[in-house]
Amino acid sequence: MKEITYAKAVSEAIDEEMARDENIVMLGEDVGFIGGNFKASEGLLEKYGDMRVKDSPISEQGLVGMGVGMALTGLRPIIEIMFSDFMLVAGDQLFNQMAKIRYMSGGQVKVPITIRCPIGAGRSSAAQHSQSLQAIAAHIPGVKVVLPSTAQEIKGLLKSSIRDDDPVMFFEQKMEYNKKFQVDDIVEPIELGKARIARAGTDITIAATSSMVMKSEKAAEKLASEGIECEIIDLRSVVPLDRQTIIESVKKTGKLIVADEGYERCGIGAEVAAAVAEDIFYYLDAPCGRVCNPNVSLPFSPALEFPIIPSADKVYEKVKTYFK
Amino acid sequence: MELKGYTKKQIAEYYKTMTTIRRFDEEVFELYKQGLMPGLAHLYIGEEAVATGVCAALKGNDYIGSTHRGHGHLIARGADLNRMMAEILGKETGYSKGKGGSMHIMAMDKGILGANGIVGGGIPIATGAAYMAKYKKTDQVAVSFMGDSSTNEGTFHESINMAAAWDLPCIYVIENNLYGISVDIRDVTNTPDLSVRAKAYGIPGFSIDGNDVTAVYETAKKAVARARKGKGPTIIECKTYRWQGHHVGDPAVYRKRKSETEKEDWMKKDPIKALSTAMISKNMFSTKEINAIDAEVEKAVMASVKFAKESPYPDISEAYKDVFISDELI
Amino acid sequence: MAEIIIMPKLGFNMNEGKLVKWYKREGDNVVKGENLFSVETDKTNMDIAATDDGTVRKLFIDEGDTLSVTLPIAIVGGENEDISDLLVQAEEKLRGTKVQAAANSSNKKSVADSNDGIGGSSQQQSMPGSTSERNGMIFISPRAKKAAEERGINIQESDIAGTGFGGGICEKDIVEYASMHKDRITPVARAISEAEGINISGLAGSGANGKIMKKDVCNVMRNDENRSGAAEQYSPDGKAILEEAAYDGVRRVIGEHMAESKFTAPHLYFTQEIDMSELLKLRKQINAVQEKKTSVTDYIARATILALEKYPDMNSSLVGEKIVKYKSINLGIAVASNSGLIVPNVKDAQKLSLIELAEAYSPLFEKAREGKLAPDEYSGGTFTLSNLGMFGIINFTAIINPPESAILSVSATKDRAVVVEHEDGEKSVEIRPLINMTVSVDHRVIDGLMAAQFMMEIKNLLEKTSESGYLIH
Repeated sequence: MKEITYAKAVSEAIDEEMARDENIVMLGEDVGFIGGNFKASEGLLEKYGDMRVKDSPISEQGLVGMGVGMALTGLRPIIEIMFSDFMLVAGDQLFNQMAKIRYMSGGQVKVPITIRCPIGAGRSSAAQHSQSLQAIAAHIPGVKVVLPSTAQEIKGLLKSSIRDDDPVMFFEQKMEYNKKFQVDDIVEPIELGKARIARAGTDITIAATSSMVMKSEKAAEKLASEGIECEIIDLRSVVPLDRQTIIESVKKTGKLIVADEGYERCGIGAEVAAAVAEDIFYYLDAPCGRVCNPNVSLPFSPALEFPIIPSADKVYEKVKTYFK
Repeated sequence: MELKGYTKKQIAEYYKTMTTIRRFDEEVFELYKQGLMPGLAHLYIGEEAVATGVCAALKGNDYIGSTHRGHGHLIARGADLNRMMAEILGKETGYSKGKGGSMHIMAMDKGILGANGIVGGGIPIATGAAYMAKYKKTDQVAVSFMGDSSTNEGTFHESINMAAAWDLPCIYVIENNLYGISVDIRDVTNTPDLSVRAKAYGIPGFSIDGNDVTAVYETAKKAVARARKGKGPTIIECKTYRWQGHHVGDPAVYRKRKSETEKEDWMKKDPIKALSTAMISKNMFSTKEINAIDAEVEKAVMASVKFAKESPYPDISEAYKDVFISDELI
Repeated sequence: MAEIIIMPKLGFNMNEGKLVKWYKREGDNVVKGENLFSVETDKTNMDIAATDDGTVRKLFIDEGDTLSVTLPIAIVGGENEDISDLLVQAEEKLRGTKVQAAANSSNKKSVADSNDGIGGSSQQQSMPGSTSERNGMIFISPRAKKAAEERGINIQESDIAGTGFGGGICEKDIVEYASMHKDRITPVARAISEAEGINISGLAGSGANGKIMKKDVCNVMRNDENRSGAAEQYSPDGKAILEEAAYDGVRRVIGEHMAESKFTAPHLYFTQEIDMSELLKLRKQINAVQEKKTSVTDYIARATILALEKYPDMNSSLVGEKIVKYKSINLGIAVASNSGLIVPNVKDAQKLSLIELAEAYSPLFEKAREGKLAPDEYSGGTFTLSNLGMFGIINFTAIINPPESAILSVSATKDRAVVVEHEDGEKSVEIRPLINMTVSVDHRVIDGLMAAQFMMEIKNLLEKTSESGYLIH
């Protein structure tokens, strides 16, 4: 066991993977010399050299497209997009090329690329730098969507994402980078598509992504003192989605809420609730709910931003509405 | 056209390749008119020399990235005619089992990174292949074919900028056929010669007669050598013209805006005719020999048409496969 | 001039003060120098006086509240002065500030809050059927519906309060309802329903509060099995009913008669064991030559009559204040009929010989069995004899037939091993046919000694037939 930051867990994962597979290269803005805008690739340039840890110009489309070309010709590229907001700049290469080439080729090729991008609000970064756009990625067939929670989780999930032969969009939570976590000395890859029960409970199921897992845990502590025991599922990935774990949990609790930081409309909450709806209908005691960002762009002022972003308090309040 | 320094074999190859492309796309057009071709195809007729000349300069394991108008590139690189035609008709025996169609044919065994339905979409992909070649020191190069209009997409700029900054072994071949569907490139770009953009990246740029297969070959050969030496990318602008509309069924009325006889004028500069004329006039080939090649091409092309027509459509279950490696993840 | 009174900063380090007491309320007049309020600092309580004459127009905080210093706590001004500007000013300053309410007042607040909104406090007693039913449609979650089915609760007929989403019924409501209406189905009924796979959802029970009883479940089974036959009936306590009939007519009369007898007369019982071997021999002899066959009962009747003649107390009645001993021995013999035991009697049976007795009773018995006895044939008896020996009964104690004072119960003849004393004093065990006879006597009229003697007489008459030659006369 050791205590490291979330960012360090990322760089360790990349480091350990690069060490075992020389086909892994990473490109992105500021990933090399300064070790990444969020320090998630510190020390890697020194270790692996310029061609494997490439500081690149601000060319999201070009970067992702090059990543696709590299993936088609035998490499396993990691492309960093500095904010998930910018994935829209590379939209064509991500969602028309990367996601579809395998399908359009009739399965002739695989595209083993990992796109890393940070999500999350809470730094007064305003509307264009605070979004959590995993729902967009999840919507397009051919893209796997991974949302790690803790540093332990991110290390294991990044390893398996890099080793995955399908395109993976890997969403890191920017507010967590500097936080310290307890992490095992050796972290094995975590299988994609298997959710984790972060907290067992009997009264309500909270299916959460990314840092909403930790926020839900905080809310769960307060709720426990009021006699409400929450079961928290760390979904880990939305594509593929571990439906079975959610279904088993709701059979027990009869209630489901989904906590995700994206916008409410057509978000992860809507998808998860619909994806399990048929299987949990007769076990439901109340309709499914969601805790997420409202349908507004993220405002700049802390007086506006903090009250609207999904927080531990919001999870707490939402759960309470089920237990009048 | 000078044929000095070329072997008969080479010239025969060029002629055969160009004729195959011509005949293949003519048959595609026929199939379209017969209602057997789903969707649309974008015909390469009139531009054969560009693909032929460039690909002649490549080695077996070099890569090419193609466009929506990619039949020429694919054939020039040696793709299988049967599997191409079957794919164009949406049949199970096509390269992509009918899931890609004309614009998305890919044949990795021939280094074909794929035709691409997005204008400019293939440029960074080819550049990525070049990055791999440089990183792994494989001595391979990549050619990115593109149209004139894709040079105005951001990917053109981003990809060539990075290739130039990092000396990637990529050759960017602009097929300037003057039109992006109906829009004349000269009306939307300030530089009539698109190769001048190479200056912006500090790399060599050439504007050449794209209908002279030997000129294309020579220029490409130099650029490929430069790339293989690790000196970085080159832009080659090939001036050419498409005889058909943008896609099958496009009447192309816009042609007549600048000149009533634009198409006819360009048809007089038919690249195949230019070569065959030289082949005869330079006493390299007899008419009989040329006819023999024609017959061979005819046979192969018609065989691909027959093959495609007789092939079955894919089973519906195919629609649910190949999204991910594992078919269970949908 | 109206002014805003603020929480005073009474010390360099004082950041907030607690208002301990208001000496004046809103609307009160205050004079300059008069104490207006008391504030608690970190060191002490301090009285603050009004700085001008005026009326207390507004108090912003309550006793016990804590507020940051320099913030407004009151407005004092002219009684009718317009203080709207000051109000706005003060409210602006106070906006966003936290007033730390005193402990008990905040409790009051939270209780008030909790009664707001749908289904507020946890103590809410939802009105039956109020929110969970709207326009005839019952709002219930799928999980709760399943829970109701499993418990045999008919949600259409049960008035279940809903505390779930939108006021609908949730699982918790069903569980609570079930435990409140515990044993909604009896354990027996549940066991049967489970074993036979009977669907009890929606089944209305016939027990208290709609409790499902065994018969309800069995009814479902019967109804499922045969729709042609009449459905089985069950008593409220689950006994299968063979037949139901009205308690009236003769049976009722007998019943009431017997009840009156048993509950009025103190019954006393004496049992004798009679060796019938001699009598049976005698009977055999007599029947051999008699056309009209005699039964054992005939001899017992004759012996009873003779014993009654000897002990007439046994043949008496308590009539009002008098005990009447009768000369007439109207011996009734109990007969089983459709409507129960009926007792035809022969008047003055003492006048009849054994054979005459047999002949007298025979037609009466037949009539009795057919229910055709005339009233004078079954009334007016003075003593009753009840023989259940033909049913194998070895002992019983009949109820006296009022207004008679005694009744003789005759049981079955059974071969038994008895100790017999011979003339030479030697004893041995032999098999003899024995009959138990028990006389029930009304202790108001007959005492034990009389009854015992009577029984001994009957025993002697039946056992020593050689000496009882008169038995047959």
